[in-house]
Amino acid sequence: MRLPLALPLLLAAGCGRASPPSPPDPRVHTIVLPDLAPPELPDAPGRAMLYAACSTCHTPRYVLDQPPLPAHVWAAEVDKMHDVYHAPFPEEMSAPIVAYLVAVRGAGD
Amino acid sequence: MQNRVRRRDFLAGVGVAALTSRCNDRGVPTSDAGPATGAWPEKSPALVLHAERPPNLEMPLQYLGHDLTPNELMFVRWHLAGIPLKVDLHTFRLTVAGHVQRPLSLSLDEVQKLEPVSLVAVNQCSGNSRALFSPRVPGVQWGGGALANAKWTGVRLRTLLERVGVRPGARSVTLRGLDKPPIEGPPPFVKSLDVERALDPDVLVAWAMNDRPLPMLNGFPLRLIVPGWYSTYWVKALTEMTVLDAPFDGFWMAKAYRVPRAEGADEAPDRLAAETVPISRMNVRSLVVQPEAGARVARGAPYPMQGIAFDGGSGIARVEVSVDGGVSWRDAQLDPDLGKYSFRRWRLAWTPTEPGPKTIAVRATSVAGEVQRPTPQWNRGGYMRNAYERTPVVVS
Ligand code: HEC
Repeated sequence: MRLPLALPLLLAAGCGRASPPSPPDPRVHTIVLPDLAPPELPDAPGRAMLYAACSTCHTPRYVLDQPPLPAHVWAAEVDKMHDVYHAPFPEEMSAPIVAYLVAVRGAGD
Repeated sequence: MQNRVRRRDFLAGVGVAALTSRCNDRGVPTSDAGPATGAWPEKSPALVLHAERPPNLEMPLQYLGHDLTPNELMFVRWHLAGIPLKVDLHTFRLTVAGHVQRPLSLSLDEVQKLEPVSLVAVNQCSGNSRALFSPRVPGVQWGGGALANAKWTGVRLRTLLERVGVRPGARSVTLRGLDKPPIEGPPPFVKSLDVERALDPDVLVAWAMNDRPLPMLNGFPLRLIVPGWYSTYWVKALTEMTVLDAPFDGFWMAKAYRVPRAEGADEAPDRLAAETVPISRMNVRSLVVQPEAGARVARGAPYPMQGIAFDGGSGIARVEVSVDGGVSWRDAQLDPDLGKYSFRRWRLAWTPTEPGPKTIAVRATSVAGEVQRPTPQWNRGGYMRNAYERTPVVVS
């Protein structure tokens, strides 16, 4: 899907203030990050739980970036998120999330 | 395969970015619209996406053809999603405090009034080439492109430490940037250097990369440069340093970025090393840049092979190249030396005589006498890979 060139400009013009923006202060540096949609993770039981538990601190794309890993490695990863990084998901969610990770990125054991 | 999926996601994402109109916090429209260009501020669309939150972007290997990596192409690595999106130089301060006589708080202008020093140094992530580990290990799956070389300009950390007057008994200096955990839980990214290392005159607090301000995603306005050491110590958007009278035992030193004490950082999956140490100096490494893996090379004509070599700060003494998978080796020519912490480019002409698949291998020897390993090491973190890299090509 390609936008006609003028459209982003039109959209951009719609933001901000009523008065024309003052020239940017060169001593204030700002960046805007691209607003990438969250990645589509493969469908398997536990996916909704993973989205819920694993999207707060970082993109769930961290999961897609991983190679196939043995179940004990995935279990250790999920434990690390919970115990070391204090991911706020209930302990009971660990097993189904590990099962999902093994289903989509597992490598035997 | 995985790569292609990532790229497609990436491009799809850029499409979304083009549709959303956004303003920065002063109401100025920021148009990242259009093709991938400009999607990552101040960065090239050629970078490969590992993650968008926090941004982790890799440089394709072909760009190792630059002796000094253009700022737009330098890889991007953040740990915690609360990265600085705004730096106000009216209020930004670099502080040095703790076990010192006279704590210091400096604006960027004040830092830049101190005597500047420049040097060229390789910036390589500890986990560069993690994706080549076998068996595979978790972590950002860098190919080989968490690697760059640049000219850095800044003030010696030593000069700052002399100004504050480090008190007797000082052991370590903690380093903290503007980045923050996105929620309470993960430990803030704080690193440390022993005082002796911090006093090395080549350790810089840099405000320029290749004579330009650092891109925000590479640590504007100030970044610590620890030449010869992996970039985990090169703290970005450096704002707070504290001198301690004890070793620092924060998470990112005591639990993460640790390697087996053994030679070559080697351990086995079923016999993990009992003793680990914080990762530090880079080991010697070399890569083939041309030809690229899978390339077709013409029989009977000289092909200009070239690539890079570097180590942890002694410099490169010798690079040898094999076109028969490591059976016989020839010495490559080395380009002029850009400094002992820099990439050293090697070149060798090869005139293939028979058609068929060939494997190019390359190995470097440092001035200190360290040679690359013929077989890869393994460790649970996926750190410090420095085996000979092999590049398959087809002669036709
Ligand atoms: C409380 C914050 C938090 C939550 C919630 C969280 N993580 Fe993480 N995760 C981290 C941090 C911090 C890192 C290290 C980041 C880095 O080094 O780039 C990380 C890294 C990772 C990595 C890369 C490998 C590694 O160990 O560094 C994977 C894979 C991962 N997380 C998966 C998950 C999964 C699966 C979940 C859900 C069960 C999850 N994360 C939830 C904080 C979190």
